[in-house]
Order: sequence, then C-alpha cells, then structure tokens
Amino acid sequence: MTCHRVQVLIQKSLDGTLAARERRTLDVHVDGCAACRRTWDEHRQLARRSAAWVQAPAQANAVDDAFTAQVMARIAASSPAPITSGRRRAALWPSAVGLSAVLGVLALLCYQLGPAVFAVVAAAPAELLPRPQTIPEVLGGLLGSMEALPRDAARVWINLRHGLSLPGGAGGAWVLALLANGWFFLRASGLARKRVAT
Amino acid sequence: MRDQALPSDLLRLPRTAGRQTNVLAASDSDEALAERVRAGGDTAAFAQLVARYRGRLIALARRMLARNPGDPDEAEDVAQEVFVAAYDRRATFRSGEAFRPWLYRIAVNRCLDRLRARTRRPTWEGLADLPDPIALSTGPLDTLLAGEWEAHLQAAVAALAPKHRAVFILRHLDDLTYEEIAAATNLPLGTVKTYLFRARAQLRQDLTEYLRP
Repeated sequence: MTCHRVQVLIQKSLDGTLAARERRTLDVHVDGCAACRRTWDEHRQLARRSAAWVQAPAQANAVDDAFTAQVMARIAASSPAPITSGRRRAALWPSAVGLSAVLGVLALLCYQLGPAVFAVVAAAPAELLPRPQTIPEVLGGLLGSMEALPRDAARVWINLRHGLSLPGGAGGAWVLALLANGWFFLRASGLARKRVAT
Repeated sequence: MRDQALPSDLLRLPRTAGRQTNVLAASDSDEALAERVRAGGDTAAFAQLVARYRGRLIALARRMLARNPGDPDEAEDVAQEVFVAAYDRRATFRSGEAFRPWLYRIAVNRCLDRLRARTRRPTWEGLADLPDPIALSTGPLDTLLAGEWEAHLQAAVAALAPKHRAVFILRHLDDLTYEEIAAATNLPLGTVKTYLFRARAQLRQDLTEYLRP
C-alpha cells in the first residue's frame, strides 16, 4: 500500500465511506508510516474542528422568531406572482398575435408553393440531379442548390417592403403583423427575457 | 459502513426530512411543506421551513462571506434574501425533489453573487491584518487560543476559491452527501469530490501548525 493510495483512504474515512477491509489496510499502513499517521490525525482534527466552527452560527441562530417574522413580512410586501422556471409570465396577446401571423404566413406559403414543390419532388428526382457517389459530391450538390438563396432573399426583402406601401390601413396592419412576429420569436427564444436574479 | 474513527462529539444538526425538529414540533417533512408552498403559496408552511433552516442558512452565509473578525456581518441579510428568493421561485421546486439541495442551491448562488460583487478578494496574506487576539481577549488562555484558531480558520477558509469554499462548508454544515452537494452547487459529482479534496489539503497546509498535538 503506497502513501498515495492511503491519501484516498484517508479521504474516504473523513466521509465515513471506508469499508472494513479498507480500514484495516489504513490502520496497518499508518502503524508503520509516521508521515501518513500525522496526515490522518491532522485531517481528522481539522474535520472535527471545522464542523464545529461551521455549525456554530446555526446553533446560535436556531431560535429567532423575529427573523422569521421579518422574512414573512418581506414576502408579503413583494410581488405575489411566482417565478416559473426563471421566467416572468408574459402578456398573452403579443404571443397570440405573433403566432397567428406566423401561422397565416405559413398557410399562405403552403397554399401558393405547395403544389409546385410537390410536383417537382414527385417527378423522378434522379433525372433532375445526378446521384452523388461521395460525401463531397453531396456537399457540392447542397451548395449548388443554395446558389439562388441570395437572389431569393432579396426578393423576399423587396416584397416585405412592398407591404409597407399598401393602400389604406393595410400597410399599417402589415407593419403590426411584422412587429408581432418579431416579438413572438424574441420571446420564444428568450432573447427578450429579463434576467431574473436567483 | 461508517468510519468509527471520527470522535463521537462531532456536532450534528438534526436532519429534518420526515422527522420532528427541536425548534418546531411538526410532523410534515420538508418536502411536504415545500410542496404545499409550491402548490398554493402556503405561507404558514413556508414559515415552518424558515424556522427550520434559518440557523443553517445564517451559518452558510456567515462562513461563506466573512473574512476577518470584525467584518460587518451580512449573513442575516443574505439569509433573508435567500428565503424571499426561495418563496419567489417556489414554482421551480419539483415534486419529488429533495428540499435541502434546492434551498442550498439558491443560498450558494446568492453568496457567490455577493462574493463576485466585492472589489477586494480575500487572500491568505490577509492573516497579517487579523487583530491581535491577546489585545482583544480578557478571558482564560483556552478561550484566547480558541479565538485565535477560529480567526485563522476563518481566514484560511476565506482564502479558498469560492466554489471550493462552498463545497467544504456544505459538507460540514448539514452532513450533505456528495450527491446533495453536487445538486446544491450545480457541479458534477466528480468535481465535488475533487474540490473537497483540494479544500481539505489546502486548509491542512495553511493550518498545520495549529493541528499538531
């Protein structure tokens, strides 16, 4: 039994997890090793005195009705709403408006684009694109299919701006729908959440 | 099997889970009271929990935050803040969860926040600033020596890294298991054991001249 291994047994003895066999091993070693015996004695003394020192304020403050009364008074004076999972309850209407706007846009996209996309995919895809044989070829295909993204993103942006120039109140409704959408996503992602101290 | 080498006079605070305390006679366990607080905001149940744990939270805060004798005692303020925060966060207490680690987690986080807010970091070199116990004491020699020991122990504990300090204090405060300490400090189980080992080694090194027979 090495002195290094005995350090592990000493820690286990301090935690009360030493098995009987390990205790015998520890006893045999410290009987013949003055350094480890001193280490063990010092650790036990430190543990005993530290426990008494740590717990002393608890003993002294075990009975203090004034403290409890002060705590309950502070609780009564604070906000009654409980914190759920670290987040404050949000007003429902911005989320409801945002969710409605998102679902409406998705429904419109599915209605307009769904049949066309389905028709393309349902056609023999192997005839549209050569089947890749390696992972680099798959990645190359993906990158190639994304070449039109900048142009398509520009089209989306232009159409969003067109909404602002709609006649009557439609432009204003368009702006509100966009804001509600943005707020909904921010709340859902937690970016708009106020930090709650623990 | 527990090691019988530890002295029998090692202080132990009463475990309250499912048992009556020596402060308030109550048949409800901590978890049952916490569940009533979580479900309906039962302030009477919460007051019982405050009564049971105020001593321990004050002890935890005092040992976590104090540096030298004579420093302003903010332990009671911190303990009150922890209880108020615990009531505010009652909805985060899950049914079936142990109450002690949940409460101590809030307390440890609050103490760590306080430590981070301080501009002056405690160091072992602060020992030179300790008041002369001979000049302060008028009692017998053993009282003087006990006060000197406590001052040095306080300074040595204050020199530990904050999370090492929290693990060490929790281990000795309420006889928490490694698993409970891990839950209270949000640390992996292996890290808790490592931190405790390092804290013990550093304290023994710093206080060795006071530990020799």
